[in-house]
Amino acid sequence: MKRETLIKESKEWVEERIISEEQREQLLERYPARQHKPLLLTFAAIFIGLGFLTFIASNWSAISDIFRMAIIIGSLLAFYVAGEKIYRKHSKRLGESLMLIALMIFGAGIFLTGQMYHFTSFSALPFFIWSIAAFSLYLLCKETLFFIAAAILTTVGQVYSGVTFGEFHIWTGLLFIVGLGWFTARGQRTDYSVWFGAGYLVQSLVFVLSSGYPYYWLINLILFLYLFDDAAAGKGQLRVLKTFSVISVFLILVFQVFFLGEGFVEVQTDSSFYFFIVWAVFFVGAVVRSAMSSTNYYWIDLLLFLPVFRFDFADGLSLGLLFVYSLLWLVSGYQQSVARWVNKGTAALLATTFIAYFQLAWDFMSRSLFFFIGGILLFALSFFLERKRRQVSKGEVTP
Amino acid sequence: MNRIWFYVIVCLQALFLILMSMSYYTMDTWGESIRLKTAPVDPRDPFYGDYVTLSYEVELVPSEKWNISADIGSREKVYLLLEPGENDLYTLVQASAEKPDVSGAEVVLPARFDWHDSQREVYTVDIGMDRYFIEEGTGQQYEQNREDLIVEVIVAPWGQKKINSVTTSE
Repeated sequence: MKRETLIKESKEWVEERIISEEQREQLLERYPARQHKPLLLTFAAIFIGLGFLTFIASNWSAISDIFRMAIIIGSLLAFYVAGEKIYRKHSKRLGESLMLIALMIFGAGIFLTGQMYHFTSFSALPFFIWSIAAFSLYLLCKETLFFIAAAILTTVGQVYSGVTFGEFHIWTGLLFIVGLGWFTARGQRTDYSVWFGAGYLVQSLVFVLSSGYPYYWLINLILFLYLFDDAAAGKGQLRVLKTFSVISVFLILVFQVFFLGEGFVEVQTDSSFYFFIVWAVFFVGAVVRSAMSSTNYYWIDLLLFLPVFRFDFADGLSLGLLFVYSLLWLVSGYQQSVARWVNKGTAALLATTFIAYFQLAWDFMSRSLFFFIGGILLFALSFFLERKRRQVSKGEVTP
Repeated sequence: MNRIWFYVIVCLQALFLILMSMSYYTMDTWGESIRLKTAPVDPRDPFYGDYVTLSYEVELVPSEKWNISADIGSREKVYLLLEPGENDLYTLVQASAEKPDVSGAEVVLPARFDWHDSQREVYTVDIGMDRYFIEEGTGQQYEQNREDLIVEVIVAPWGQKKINSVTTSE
């Protein structure tokens, strides 16, 4: 039943003494006003902002510097003031959209002013300042829109810093981790976790690639995200960050299968020494955490975080880990009849088999035979696993 | 939403942009004016649309004046120490990774490292003033003399710089 209808009808019920006012309120609480996503308005805001920008941009060279500044600052103030007024008095959604435009004008303003007056930037500082503005707006009104804006701006700024200057911008990184991380942990909301997790992974990649650390530092960074999930996910919610980190570390192992083959010699450096210290601390934390967890199976995830790259046959070991991981989830899924685990194990096993096959057979089979046999192999495997999976979903467990 | 803080944040943003633009205009008062000689430009055609492409002699650092370790990454910040020489033209004393101490008429110019030409033993840096916007139709005059133009640059104490004028040397 629609809330609007219920409000109208229930008023009559109270008047006719069918229910009391208190009962009416209780009933209405069961039908909360639906929260419309501000998607359309956000797009409207973005389009108007873009239209404004392109118009100014196409006439930009004809305008004098002072007048350009007046346009930028005038429109910045106009959109902020209008946004705040509308946010407070009329519509939160429209208000925050206007403030988002103002935030975009601020960012564009930094770059335009910089270009106009020949500023040379030596770091991602412009993005950092822009991100601070976005984050302050989030602090003030706690709207998801500005959380997302801050997450995107810090991440884009970090990528810009990595690509253009080959360095990790430490302040932007801190703002992201401390500022947005804090609210991800406090908010315990799925959407915050998604944005935070995606930004975290991208920034980790920039950090490792641009700071000259070996790629395997990613394992520590991802392990941290895995642990952080306990703080960030509320009870009974999707374990977004855990899923993100498991998928990422899975990909790292796949990377190792392909690239840690013959001739790869890992040089022992200071960095790898520190890596193991940090890793040990995180890993012990993760083991303790999984020992305390109510389900005794989460240690399976931790297998993926084992640093096997130290060994000579790291590619084989990585592949082995992937297989063990997949099979363990499959078997525990069947034993405990948890369909989710079986699905996870199935997907992982299919991927791993495919990778193993690719790695082992690519070199000494003709291409058509390779794909042909591979196809049949995957088909047979998926047929077998799918049958098993259905048994579990239906509850007929025959492990 | 706290309105006072909201307006504080909005004003800070506007102020930031205003300061960026103000700093440019106050450079004339606070900055130091130096004259730099241009160097031949690569690509060959320096005249493009409404600006000329400029390259400076001080942007080519011979290895004996390069006081920076070899593992410097591209686009990293370096400092050029300049001193006035003949005809009041500023020439390079040294390039360093740390900001050097200035004595007398010396001036520090921040730059970015571009690349190392190991054959010519030259480190190329970018002082970020490779475009000079000109009035339409005057490009010819710069193009003919493009290899020895004198560029007057104003350097502010806070590291900002701008091109004040471009003149042919004679």
